[in-house]
Amino acid sequence: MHSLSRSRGMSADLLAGGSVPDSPAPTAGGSRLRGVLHYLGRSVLKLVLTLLAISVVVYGLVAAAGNPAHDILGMDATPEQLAAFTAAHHLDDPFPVRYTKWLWGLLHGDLGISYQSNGPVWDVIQPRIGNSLVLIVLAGLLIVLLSIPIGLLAGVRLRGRTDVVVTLITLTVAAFPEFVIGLLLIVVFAAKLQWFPVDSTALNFGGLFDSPSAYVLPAITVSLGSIPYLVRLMRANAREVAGETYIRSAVLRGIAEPALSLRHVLPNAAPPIVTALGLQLAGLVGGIIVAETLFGFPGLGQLIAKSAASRDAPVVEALALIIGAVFVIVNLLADAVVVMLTPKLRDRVR
Amino acid sequence: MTTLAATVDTPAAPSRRRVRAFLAIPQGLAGSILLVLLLAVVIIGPFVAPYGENQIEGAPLQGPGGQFWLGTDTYGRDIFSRLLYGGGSVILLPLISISLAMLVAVAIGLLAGYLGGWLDLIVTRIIDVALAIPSYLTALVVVSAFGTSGTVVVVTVAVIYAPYIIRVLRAATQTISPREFVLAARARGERLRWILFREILPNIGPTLLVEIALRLTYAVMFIASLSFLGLGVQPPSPNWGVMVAENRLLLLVHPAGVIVPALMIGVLAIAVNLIADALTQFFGDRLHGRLMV
Amino acid sequence: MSASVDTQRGAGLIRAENLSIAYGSGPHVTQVLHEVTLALAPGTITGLAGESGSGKSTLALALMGYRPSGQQVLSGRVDLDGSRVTGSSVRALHKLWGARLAYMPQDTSTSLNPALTIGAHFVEVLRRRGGRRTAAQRAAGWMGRVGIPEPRLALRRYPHQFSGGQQQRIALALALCLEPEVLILDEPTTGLDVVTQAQVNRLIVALARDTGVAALYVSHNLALLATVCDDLAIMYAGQIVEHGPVREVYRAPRHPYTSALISAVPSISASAPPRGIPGLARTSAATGECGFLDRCPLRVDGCASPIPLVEVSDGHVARCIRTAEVPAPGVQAARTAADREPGDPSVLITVTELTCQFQRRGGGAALRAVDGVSVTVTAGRTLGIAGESGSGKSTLLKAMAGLVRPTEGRMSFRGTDLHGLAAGRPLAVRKAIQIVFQNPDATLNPRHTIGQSMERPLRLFAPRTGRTERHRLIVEMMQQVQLSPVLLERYPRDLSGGQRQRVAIARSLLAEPEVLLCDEVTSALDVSVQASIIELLIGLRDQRRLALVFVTHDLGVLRSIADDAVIMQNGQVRETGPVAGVLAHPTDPYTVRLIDAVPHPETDLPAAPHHGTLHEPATES
Repeated sequence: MHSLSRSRGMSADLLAGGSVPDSPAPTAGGSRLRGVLHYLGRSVLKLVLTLLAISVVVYGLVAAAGNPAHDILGMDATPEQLAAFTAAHHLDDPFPVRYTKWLWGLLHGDLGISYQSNGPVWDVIQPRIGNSLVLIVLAGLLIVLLSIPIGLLAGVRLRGRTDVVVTLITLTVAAFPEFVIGLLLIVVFAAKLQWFPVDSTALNFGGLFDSPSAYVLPAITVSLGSIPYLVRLMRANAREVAGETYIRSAVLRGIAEPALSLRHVLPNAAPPIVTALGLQLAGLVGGIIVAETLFGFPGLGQLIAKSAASRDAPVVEALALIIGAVFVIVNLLADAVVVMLTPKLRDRVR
Repeated sequence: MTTLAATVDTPAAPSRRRVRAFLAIPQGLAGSILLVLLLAVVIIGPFVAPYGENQIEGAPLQGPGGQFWLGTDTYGRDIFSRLLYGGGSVILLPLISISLAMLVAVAIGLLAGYLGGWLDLIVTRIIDVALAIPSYLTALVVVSAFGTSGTVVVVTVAVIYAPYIIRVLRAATQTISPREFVLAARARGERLRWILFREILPNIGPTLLVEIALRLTYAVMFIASLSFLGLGVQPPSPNWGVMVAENRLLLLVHPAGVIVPALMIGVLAIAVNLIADALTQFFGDRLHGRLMV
Repeated sequence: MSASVDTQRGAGLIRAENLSIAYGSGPHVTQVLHEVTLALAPGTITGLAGESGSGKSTLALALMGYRPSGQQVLSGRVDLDGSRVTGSSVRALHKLWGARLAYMPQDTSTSLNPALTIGAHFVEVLRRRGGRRTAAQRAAGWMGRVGIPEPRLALRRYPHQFSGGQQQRIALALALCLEPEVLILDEPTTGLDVVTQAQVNRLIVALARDTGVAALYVSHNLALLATVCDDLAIMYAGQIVEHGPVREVYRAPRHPYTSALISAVPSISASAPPRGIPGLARTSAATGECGFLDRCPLRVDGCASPIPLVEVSDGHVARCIRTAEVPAPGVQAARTAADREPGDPSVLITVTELTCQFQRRGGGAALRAVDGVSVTVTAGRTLGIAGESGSGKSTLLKAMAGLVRPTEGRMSFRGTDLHGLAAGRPLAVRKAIQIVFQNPDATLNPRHTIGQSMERPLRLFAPRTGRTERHRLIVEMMQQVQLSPVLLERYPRDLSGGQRQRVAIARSLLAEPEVLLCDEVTSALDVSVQASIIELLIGLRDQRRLALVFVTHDLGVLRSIADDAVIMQNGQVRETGPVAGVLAHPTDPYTVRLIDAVPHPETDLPAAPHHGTLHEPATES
C-alpha cells in the first residue's frame, strides 16, 4: 500500500554503517563556473515560477469573492450604476481572460484602475514608494547591525543570572505586537520626552531631508519586531557551535578569545541567521504595514491597509505582487549568501 | 545468571512530577501565572463588570477616577468594563484558528514526511509557495475580497499558519522514520495507520506541542494587529485591538484608553510566549527536526 | 604508585597524582575518577584501555588540565615537568596547550573547523612560534610528513574536501606541529574503516617515535592497543586496575578484569567465541571497595575494602589481592556446526543476482549498493556477511528483510518468490524472517514500555493467544535472554545498551522465526557486552536451530559466530566459503588486505621502544 522512497533505505544504510571509507580527495575543478551558472539558472526559474504562483493566488482569491460593485458603490446604487461599474472594470469576463489581461497589463507597466480613486493604480502608489523604501533600509540596517553582535555576545559570554535576565527581556519584547511597542515608544519618546514627533504626517509635506526625525520612531518600531527573535536565534546558534567539539579542539590547540569567537564560532553560527533574516522579511512587511498605520506614515504599508479595508482590489493586487516579488527576491539573495558563506554547500553546487 | 534490574530506580514519572518540573522553569512559572490571571479576567470579567460593554454612561473622555476606574472613551463608555468584556475574542479567535490549522496539518505532515515520493514533492512545493507570501499580504488580499469579519479572520489565519505546522511535522517525521524501531515495525508488516499514529506520532508529540504554542503566540499577535488595522473584528466590539484603534488618535489627550488595552494584548502574548519557551526547554533533547529556536 | 615510571626521568614528564574527579553539584554528584596515578615518559606510547564509564576520557582531558563546566577536582593534581597543571589559570593553560600539551580527539569532524581552510588552521597555531611567513612553509612541511598529497594546494582546501583518514592525519599534524612534549590521543581512529585505521595508526607510531613525545593512546580496542603501545594501563570504575609492559599485561594479566576483558575480545584466528562478563559495568568510580567486586569470580571478603596497587613484577602493578590466582585469558572449546544437532539441511533463503540501485540526490551516477549478489541461507547454519562501510552488507540484509526493494534479481523463501517489501509478503513469511538492528538507542520505541514493545510480534503473528498466555510467553522469553521481568514496566531509557539489544533479540524471537537477520547488532556495544550478546545469540541459535545471517565489519566477530563467510566490497561479493578457510587462507586480494589491516595481538606485539630503557631489549625486530 505504501510506496516507500528508496532514498530512505539508502540513507538509513549509510547511517548504520558507522565508519568512513577512505576515498581520495576530490579536486576543485574548472566546472565550478558551470556549476554556478546552473545554480543561478535554477534560482531564476524558481523565482519566476513562485511569482506566477503568487499572482494566480492573489488574483484568484479576489476574483473568487465575486463582484464587489455592491459594496463599493453603496447600498443605494442603481442597477445602471452597478452595470457601468462592472463593465468598466471587466468584472464579467471569465477568469482566465481577466487574469491574462491583468498579467499582460502588469508586464507592460499598467497596474490597473483603482476602484476608489478611479485613476491609475500607479499614480496612487508612486508618491509613497520613496518613503517606504527609506523606512525599510533604515529598519534593515538596525536589524543587521544589532542582532548579530548582541546575539553572538549573549551566546558566547553570558552565563547564569545575566543570561536568564537577558532571555526574559528578549522574550518579552518579542512577544509585544508591533503596534503595542510603537505606542509605548510614542508615549515615552514623543509625548513625554518630546524627542521625536508624535506621528509622521509631516512627511506628507516633504521628504527625508525635510523631516528626518519622522523616520526614527517608525524605523525603531519595525526593527524591534525582528531583533529579539534574531538575537535569540543567534544566541542559540552561537551556544550550539561553541559546544561543538571542534571548538574544544581549537581551545586545546591554544586558541583564545577573541579569536575563538570571531574566527571559529561566528562563521559557523552566522549562516542560518542569514536565512532567518530573509524569512524575517515576511514579518518586516507586516511590521511596516502596522507601523505606517500607527504613525500615519504616508507609505505603501498604510496604502495597502486602507485599500484592503475599503476593498479596493486593484490596488491591493498590484501592491501584493510588488511586495511579494521583492520578498521572494530578497530570500533568494539570502540563500545565495548562505551558500557563499558555507564551504560545504559551495562545493555541492558542483 | 539473571541480570539485575535497570540502571535507574524510579519508574516512569507520573504526570504530577512532570507538571512540577515544568513549573520549575522560570519561564514556565511566569507564563502560567500570567495566563491563569488573564483567563480569570476573560472568563469572570463579563460578570463582574460595573457597566455594559456598550453602555453610554458618563461624559466622554473623562480621566481615570471615581466611578470609572480607567475613565471613559470618545462615546462615554466605561473603559474598564469594556476591557473586561473584550478579552474573549482576543483569546478565542487565535485558539480556534490554530486548532483548525492543527487538525489539517498533522495528517498532511505525517503522511508527507513518512511516505515521501510524489506526495511529499507536491506538499513541499505548495508549502514553499505558501510561505513565500508574507502573512499580512495574504490576510489583506483575502479581506479585500471577502470583507471583514471574525469568521474570515479565523479561516485566513488557519490557512496562513497551517503550512508552518506542516513543515515542522514533516521534518520531525523525517527524522524519526529512518529510526530502527520504525524499520522494525515495517519489517513486521504493520499497517500505515499503526506506524504513523502509534510509532511515530508519540515521538513527535513534544515537537508538535512546542510548535503549536509558538503558532498560538504569533496568532494572538497577528489577530490583534489585524483588528488594530481594522481588518478583523469591527467596532463596536470591545475587542482590545479594536479599542486601541478606536482610541488611538486620542493618545496625547487620554492615554489610558489606548495604553491599557494595548498592554493587555502584550501581556497575553508574553504569557503564551513564555509558555512556549518553557516547553522548548522542558522537552529539550526530545525535540526532533525543529528548524528554529 | 605506578612503579613502571622512574621518578628521576628527564624533561617532559607529565604525571597525575592521586587524582579524583567528580561531575555535578548539589545532590547529584557522581565521582568518575578515584585516586588515579599515572605518569607518561618521553618516547613511550602508553595505552589506556577501558569500556564506557571507566573514566578514561575524563582522565585524558584531565591530563591536559581541561576542566569542562560541571566538573570538579576533588583531590590530587597533574604536574608537567614539576610545574602544576590542574587548577592553573586559563591564560597559563592557553600557553601550554598546543605548545607543550597536545590533544587529538576521536571523530574526524571534531578537530577541524568546517568553516576554515586547512592553511588557516595551521597558521593560527604556528604563528605562536616563528613568523607568519615561515608558518605557511612549515605547514606544508607537516602536511607532507603525514602523507597528504600536494601539500601546498591542500592548505587552501576545506576539511570536508578530504576523506576521513586524511582529516585525522591533518589533525595529527596540527597536534604535533609545535613539537609538544605530551600527546594525548583519544580514540583517534575509531570512526575509520579498518584499512585506514591501520594506516593512520602506523603513522601515529612512527611520528611518536620520531618526535619523542610522551604519548597516551586511549581506546576501547584492546587488540589495537596491544600492537601499538609499549605500556598498557587498564581502567575500570574510575581507577587504574592494572598497568605494565604491554606484552606482560596482555599475555599474563594479573587482574581478574583484565583477564576477563581480554577473553572478551573476539579473535580472528581462534575459533573460540569470546566470553562476556556477567553483571553490568559500573558507571561511577569505586571509592570504598574493589570496583569489580560484584562481577569477579575471585572475590573474597577482603575485597570489600579499598585495594591498593600491588607490584607484581618490575614495572607491572595490579590492584588486586589475589593476583597470583588470576587465570590466563580464557579459551573455551568451540562448537562447530558439526557439533550441533544436525537439523534439516534445507535451504531457506536464496538470493540470486540481487541488485539494489539508488538515485543519488542531485543527479549523478546511480549508486549500486548491492550489485549482482547471490547467497544462500541454510537452516541451522550461520551466514556471516563482512565488509567495510559502503560494502552493501546492510542493504543486502535489509533487502532480505523486506525493507529495501531490489531493482534486479530475485529472492525466494523455501522455494517461493519473496516480495521486495515486507508489506507485500504473507504473514507466515514475515513471521519466519525476523531482523535485529545495530543501534540500541533506536531499536525500541522510546515511548513504549518494554512490555508493549514485546507484545507486538505476538499480537501480529500469534493473534489467537490470550492475554495471560502472551504475558507468560513474554516473561519466559525475558528469562531466556537473562533479563529480569521487572524491566517490562520500564522504558528503554532506563536500560543499558546491552539490555536493550537483548530486548530487541527477545522481541524478534517471540515470533518464532526460522531465520534471524542481525545487522551489526554488537557494533555499538562495549567489548564485554558485545561478547555476552554473542554468547547469547550462539546459545539461542543452537537451542532453536535458527538460521542466522550476521552482518558485521569485525572479522573477529565473524569468526566467532559464523559457519560460512561472505566478504563484500562496493556491493559485490569478493569471496565466500567456510569461515575458517576464508580467514586463514584468503584468495581474493581485497580479503587479504582486510585481514592484514586487523590488529593481530597474538603475533604482533610490538618490539621494545627505541627511547627509554624501561623494558628488556626486544628479541624480535
